[in-house]
Amino acid sequence: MKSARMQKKAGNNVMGMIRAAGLGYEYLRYEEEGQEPEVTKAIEDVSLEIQKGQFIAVLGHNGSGKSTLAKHINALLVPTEGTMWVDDMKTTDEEDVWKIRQKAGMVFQNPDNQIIGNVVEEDVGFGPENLGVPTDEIWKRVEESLTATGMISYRAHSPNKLSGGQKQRVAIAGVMAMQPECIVLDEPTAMLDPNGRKEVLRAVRKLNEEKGVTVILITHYMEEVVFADRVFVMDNGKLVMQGTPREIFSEVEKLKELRLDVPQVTLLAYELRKNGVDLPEGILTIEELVNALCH
Amino acid sequence: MSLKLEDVTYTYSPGTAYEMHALEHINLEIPNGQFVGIIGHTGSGKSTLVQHLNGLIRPTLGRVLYNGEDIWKEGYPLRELRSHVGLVFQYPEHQLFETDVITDVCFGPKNQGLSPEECRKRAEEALDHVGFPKEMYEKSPFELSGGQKRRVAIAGVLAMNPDFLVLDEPTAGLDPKGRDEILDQLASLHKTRGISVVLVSHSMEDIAKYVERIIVMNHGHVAFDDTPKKVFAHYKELEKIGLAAPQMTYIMHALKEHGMDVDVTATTVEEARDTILAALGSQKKNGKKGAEVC
Repeated sequence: MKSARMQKKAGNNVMGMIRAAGLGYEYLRYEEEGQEPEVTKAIEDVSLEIQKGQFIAVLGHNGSGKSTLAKHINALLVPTEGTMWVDDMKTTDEEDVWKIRQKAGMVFQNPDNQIIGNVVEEDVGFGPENLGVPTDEIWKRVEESLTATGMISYRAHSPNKLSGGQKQRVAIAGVMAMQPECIVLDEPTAMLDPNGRKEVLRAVRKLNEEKGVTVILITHYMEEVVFADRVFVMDNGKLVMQGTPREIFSEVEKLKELRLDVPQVTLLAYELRKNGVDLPEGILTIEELVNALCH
Repeated sequence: MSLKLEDVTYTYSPGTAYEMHALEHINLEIPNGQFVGIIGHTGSGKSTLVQHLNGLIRPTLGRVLYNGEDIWKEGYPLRELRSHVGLVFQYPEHQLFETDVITDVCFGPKNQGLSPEECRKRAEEALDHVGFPKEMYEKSPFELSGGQKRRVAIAGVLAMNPDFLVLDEPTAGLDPKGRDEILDQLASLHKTRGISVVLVSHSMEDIAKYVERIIVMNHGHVAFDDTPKKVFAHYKELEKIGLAAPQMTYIMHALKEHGMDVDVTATTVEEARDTILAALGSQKKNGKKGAEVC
């Protein structure tokens, strides 16, 4: 019923670019032979809406269903319950799968698993080449996306000589060259050093701010979430919290219960408040804390 | 007991066009019972360094000494050394292979030639140390969550009863709670069993919270080797070599610049809280309001 009603509304451009209604995904686990397989629900009854151009962060402990949710956005997985729409296309409609994958590109955790070219620019050109883009246009896109991620000076380098952060930016450029409207990043900084993390975050924020690309960032680093427009928190396959970073990080105790954390500056402000210092809730940056303490 | 590197240099592909000096003239000593952190940007030589500690790679020049003995001299029992110095690689859960958890953890002690009973005892102790629940011993390692797998993999090395435990980014990819649990368990192992822990990490906050000494690697050299407070005092130099200080260091310096009398060497949230409260307290005593002091 619910999905039929939502379908009628589809086509209306005011609605979000990515929408999930009652989304569920179960898989069967086979134990011994002859035994009934066990049903495991990776996500359950998730409904959400993401507008074009938004920067979204997704938090949740290991096994909370974040990655399963992310894989639904570009139809790597299709729901066993409910519906996922990407730009009004249902991910369950097989004829739309390739269009959906062009709209929503994905970047994974390990940069070494995602790079296939021997030269940086060839790697970035692989995606558009597969889409049948004309050669001149491929080179144009390669140049544009390497410039956007700050990797243009490495275009003739071999990817295996790059640092982790640089490889991840090549992977992001490879996705950008397919000109998606939305990019899903599944813990892109988990394996990087502090500088690599900064480089990747800067590149992603730039794509969002300057090119209007919708960003969905899955991360365990709370500091990376501060700049998001909206935060979704997953637990046991369910969407349990959503709001602005300030709203989410005001709930220090609740996040700890969910095996999560808050940025260290937020935690310090929270500890000071507990000790009677007059500070507003949900402080997110060093500047905010310094201003609040000194004025 | 101690581990010592004497003037160690390691060169990849020597004599070819790809020759690269990963380590150059490293001198270090890690005494028994220390909790040491190693930091450095990608490619700084951290992983090459830790692979020297249990004789996985042989230095091009220089010596590696365990309890004063050169581990590369003829006839040195390298296999035994690897039971004394346990190395946990990045993403160690990729190395789980047995059909159930307890058998996987028994693999190390079994190879040390222990009896099945002794192996089981060691494995149970090790799993207990990393907080792995007893009722899951018979599960397949592949059914576990990421955090649990990581625990089993660390227990597999612990079961060999090492005196030195070296871990290359043991918390990468874990959620914040899982990260804290594993580091807390390492700290308690260090305390109760007195083993030395060498922790390679990209998280300055974790390093600040747990270790007593930091070795900073940069381009195959040791850039700093000191207590966390002293190392993080060089936060501007650390940034230049692709690293950073913990968030607290930046907050303390910003507050100090605004005239608040705080201890800039605070690196953990608790230390920062205490010094800010102390500074605010003395402001009140002097009858000043916040705005007048900052």
